[in-house]
Amino acid sequence: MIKAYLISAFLVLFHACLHAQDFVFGSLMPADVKLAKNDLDSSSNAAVLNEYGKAFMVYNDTKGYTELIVDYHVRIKIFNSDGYEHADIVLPAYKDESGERTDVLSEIKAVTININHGRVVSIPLDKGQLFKEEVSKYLTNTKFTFPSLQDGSIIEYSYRLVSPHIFNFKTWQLQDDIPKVNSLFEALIPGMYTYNVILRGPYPLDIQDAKLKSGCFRIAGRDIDCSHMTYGMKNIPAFVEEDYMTSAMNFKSAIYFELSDIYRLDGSNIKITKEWRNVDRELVSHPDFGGQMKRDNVFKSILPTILADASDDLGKAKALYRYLQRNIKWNRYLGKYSENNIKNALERRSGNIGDINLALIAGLRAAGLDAEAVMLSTRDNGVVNDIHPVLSDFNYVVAKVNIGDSYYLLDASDPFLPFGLLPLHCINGKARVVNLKEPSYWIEPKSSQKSTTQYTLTAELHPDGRLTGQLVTHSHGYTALHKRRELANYNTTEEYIEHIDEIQTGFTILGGEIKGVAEVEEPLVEHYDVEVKLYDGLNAPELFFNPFFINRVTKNPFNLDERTYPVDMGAASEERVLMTIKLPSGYELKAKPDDYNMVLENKGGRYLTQTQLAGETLTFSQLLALNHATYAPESYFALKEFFSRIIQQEKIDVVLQKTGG
Amino acid sequence: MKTIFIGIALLAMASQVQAQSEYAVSDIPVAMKSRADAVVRGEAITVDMVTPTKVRYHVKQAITVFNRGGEDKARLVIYYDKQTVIKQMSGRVFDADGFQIGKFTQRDFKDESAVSNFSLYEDTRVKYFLPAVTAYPYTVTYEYELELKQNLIIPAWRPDAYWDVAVQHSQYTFVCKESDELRVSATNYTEEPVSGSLDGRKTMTWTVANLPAQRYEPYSPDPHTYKTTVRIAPVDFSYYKQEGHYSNWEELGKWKYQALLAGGLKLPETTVQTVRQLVQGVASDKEKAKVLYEYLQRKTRYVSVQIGIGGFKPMAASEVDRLGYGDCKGLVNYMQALLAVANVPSYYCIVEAGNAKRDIRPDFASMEQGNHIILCLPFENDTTWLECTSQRLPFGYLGSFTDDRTVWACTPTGGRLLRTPGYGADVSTQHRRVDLVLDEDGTLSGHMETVFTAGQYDNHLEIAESNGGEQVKLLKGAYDVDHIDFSGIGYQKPIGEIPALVEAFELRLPKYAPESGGQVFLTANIFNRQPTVPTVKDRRLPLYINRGYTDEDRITYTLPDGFMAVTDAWNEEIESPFGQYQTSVVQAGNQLRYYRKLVLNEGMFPAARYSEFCAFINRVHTLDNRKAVLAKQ
Repeated sequence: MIKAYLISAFLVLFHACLHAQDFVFGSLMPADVKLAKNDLDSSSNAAVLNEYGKAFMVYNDTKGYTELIVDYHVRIKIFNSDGYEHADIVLPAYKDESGERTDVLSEIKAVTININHGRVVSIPLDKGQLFKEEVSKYLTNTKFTFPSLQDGSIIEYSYRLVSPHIFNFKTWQLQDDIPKVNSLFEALIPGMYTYNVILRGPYPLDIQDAKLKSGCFRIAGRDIDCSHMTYGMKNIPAFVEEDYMTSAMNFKSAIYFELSDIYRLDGSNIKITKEWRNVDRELVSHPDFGGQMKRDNVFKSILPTILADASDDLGKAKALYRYLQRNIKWNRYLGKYSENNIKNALERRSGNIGDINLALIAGLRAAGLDAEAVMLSTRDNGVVNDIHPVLSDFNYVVAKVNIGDSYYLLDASDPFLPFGLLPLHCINGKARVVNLKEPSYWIEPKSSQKSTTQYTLTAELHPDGRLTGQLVTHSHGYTALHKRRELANYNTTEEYIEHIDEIQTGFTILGGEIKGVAEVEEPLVEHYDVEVKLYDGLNAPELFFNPFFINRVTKNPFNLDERTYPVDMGAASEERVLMTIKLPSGYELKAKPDDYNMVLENKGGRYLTQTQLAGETLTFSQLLALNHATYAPESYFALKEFFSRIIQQEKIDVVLQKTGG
Repeated sequence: MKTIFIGIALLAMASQVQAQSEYAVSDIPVAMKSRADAVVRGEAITVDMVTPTKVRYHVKQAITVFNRGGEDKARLVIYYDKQTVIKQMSGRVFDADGFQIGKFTQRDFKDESAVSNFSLYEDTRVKYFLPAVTAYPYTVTYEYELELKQNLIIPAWRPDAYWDVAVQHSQYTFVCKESDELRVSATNYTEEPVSGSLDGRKTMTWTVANLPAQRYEPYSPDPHTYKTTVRIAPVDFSYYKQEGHYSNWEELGKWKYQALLAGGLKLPETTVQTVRQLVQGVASDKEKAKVLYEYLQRKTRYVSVQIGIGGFKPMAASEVDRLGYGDCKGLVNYMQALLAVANVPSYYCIVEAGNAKRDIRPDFASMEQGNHIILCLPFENDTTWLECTSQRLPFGYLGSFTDDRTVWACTPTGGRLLRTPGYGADVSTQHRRVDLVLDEDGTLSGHMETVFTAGQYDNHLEIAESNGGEQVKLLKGAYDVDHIDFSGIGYQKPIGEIPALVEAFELRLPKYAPESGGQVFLTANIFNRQPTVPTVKDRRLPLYINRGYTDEDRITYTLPDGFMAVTDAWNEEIESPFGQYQTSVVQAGNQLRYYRKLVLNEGMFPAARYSEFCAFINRVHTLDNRKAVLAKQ
């Protein structure tokens, strides 16, 4: 009883000094009122005027563990009705699997401040308009919106979050999708906890300060000193997203914490952030990781059947990969750990990523192959920390099989992936290879295949203005993967072709066939009999014909004035077009697009076109190659210009002129 | 005693479904496989109205999934709330040969909140389950029962709701007391239901069999007009402890007004005073309404919160007044309250909103129809309509979201059906005038002005009302030309009988017309190119054009010195039952003048004419993309 009393008294005291650097709730500064939309940037409809946060820790005697307390306070200006969306607030609270340790939100305070004819009017949030949405077992969102919004409204809210989740302390998001005038964060970290602190993003901190604060954490009757860290940034631009980027988290300015050590009162030290060698040992002995990799006995009885037709190691690896692709369905859950254990997953034919790929590793090992686990982070999960081992960064696992001098990275969760090609979501910087016997190491997975498409059109232009012929398309890599996934939505290829005929506008498909649908190692080959009505008749003395009617680039994917993060396409790509068109007799080439050969620096890309008429046969070829998977921000303008020129080039026609006869 | 008998009846139905086959895929007739991503092998739905506050909804279904596209149909998704209790749910999974390979129970379902994306909060939740099967085809059987604690809304039967799902057999049975009065609406169901009795209670059963899957056909009528639906509405009902009785729109409207609307119209005294001041000296009721509508638009915004009876009952006007937000019901109700202070009468109207024009069914009153609320001002010979959730729409204008359809008005004297106004193709115009100068390097620059009226008034309304970077982004979306650049963007709303929006700006199109071999290629129609429509072979459904319009584009190009068109001038006209089209290019001095007009007529045409429609539209597409070639003389 007395203890509890003491703690609450302490909290009150603490709370009193907490406002030292916070701004006063509901009390506007002249600058807040004055700030106009164009003062920051012209495109934002709202801006954060001021943001303050303080995070500290308190030992909860009743629960018997340390909790993190975050006090958050923000003031936002809404410039116009397009900015109203920034008044819809969602505050998540997480619960762990057991349901015992849960985030608790309290002291939610919110107010709309309007200035009507020079008079300041404050409208507080109605508590009845605060909604709790139990999204799932693990997440409850507290949601509210601000009353009485108008252009120029200032909205302000604050809350306290008490959380049992101390591992990442409090990630402080400096940059957001609206600009911020000021953002300040204080972190009070008791001496017994050591965190690694990382600043992400392109901008430097304006304020960075570390002080000692004595006796700010009390545990078992002892006062412990804290490091009092202050981080601040001013005039932070809004973060603008564009196509071909990985998670925005990788690029937005923010301060990340991760717990590395806990010093206990008895003088002992628990290493949280460890060396990789310690992590390796843990993973290898972890029942849901190494424990599953070792279960080659699960495959004992089925292995002879699976490997029946396999002669060499590569054949065996392929046979096992196929088997798992076909026999466990991905339940749409990610995870580096096995959720159901691999035996159950095989029996139930369903599992998460961990189940599927750890089972594959166990199977490969059972077949006597050298297989390792590769932990990685998916593209939308952000890149992993490559300085310290941070296990929570990794949300996915794939298999690595070493055969001779080569290795193959395998993900058996998608039945349409060819052997050795990882899905695009796995191509995201560094990944860690975990071996049951050797130390772990980094690799950087790349797409093992270029995404290539080759169109070959062999056609004839008839005197009535129709162009008929055969279009053959070869697809490889991710292009083939996408098409196979789409094909899987149809019962028959006829229905798929019908669909393709309906969605593409350049030509009509009269019939066709598709080869290699099931043979995922082979290219996907589409044969279509096509017809295009180019002219009403061929009476005009000159015929204009645009050869770029297959997959023409009409829009530049890059339109920003500046891009601070790389262009990441995931894989190199190549698209070739080859056309051979037989013309009616009596035509000559009057004009044609100039043969074009354009390259991007560092062999980054190439665009090539060629047109010629030999006798009655017009041939046209085009190549568009992007040879890198990622392009640095410095290459952005070159890439933008590259596409711009392609668009120009593709507007130009071939002009045919009737000869005398 | 009674319940036992019903139990047996259900079992009998259930075993009938099961006995049909053991779900071997080979038993499915070929015709049921064509174009089907899934097939309903058998479905039996029984609605047992025990009392008005206890309605059992029992479903037993077997569905075979052929491919990945059909997977969604194998997913069992059950929504529930305080008035809908899940009593039981379970199922089994069978392989292609009909052998059971798995089963699942309530434990296996995931439970999540089901707040729709337009809402801040709703109290609906969802439980769902998708069986894990790696090989197609496979079959899933489900059985579940819900208990509805109300009988105002009985789930309708729509056996063939999905295009890509064939139905081998589906039946719907309603069970109630002999004395219960019911109204039934069956659309696209020609037979009479089979009536029966069960231990002194009456039953009605509807059945369909062997409905093949269909393919989606573009420009086809609203599926509601040709798909089977059976709706049942008990005359005496109970809903969230409210009881009522209705057999037509008039009675239901009366109940709704009294039970859900009448109590929420009171405003705080300060607002009453504000309203009085606002309308003081304003002559006509219409003018007063306009002043108050603008007040509403300034003061409120749309925020959706749906809890319990709040799904039908609007938030009180005093609440909206205090919060400055509400959903469509709350905002319409608030507007009514404002108007009431000024003694302007108005009707709360329920409408089925959406781009498709869907009527409230005149012949069948029921509570679940409609999804949006608008306000009607019944001025004599000048009925005026208000959309109360928009800060943008002008007074008296309904956009394509609610135009031209039958709506249900709830008035103190009862419900009545009214029709919202629509605009024809002749007045729904988009007139564009562009003056551009062509540089030697192919860059175009100049001025553009477009007037959008009536049915096309809201084409660019969102852009007009947006700001700064957002506005430019939206404009770039609307005028999707590479590297287009805008300046001096301005919008005006001239006051007139028909709503009109004028958009004007300066623009630049760098290197729009590339040069090659001494020739410059200029696609004269820059901004309004008709996309093609797919040529559907064996068209089955009628051709339906939902909304007609008239577009007119005039572009004048001033050419650099010495440049002339080397392609001939053109003038093409097409007349068709679906509309008319004209395009021309003429050279006059150093100017090239482009003209385009497209009129599309609203209407329904027989399926056989679809190919003619395609030919018309695709010809327009070709002509829209025609290039003028220029050369220096």
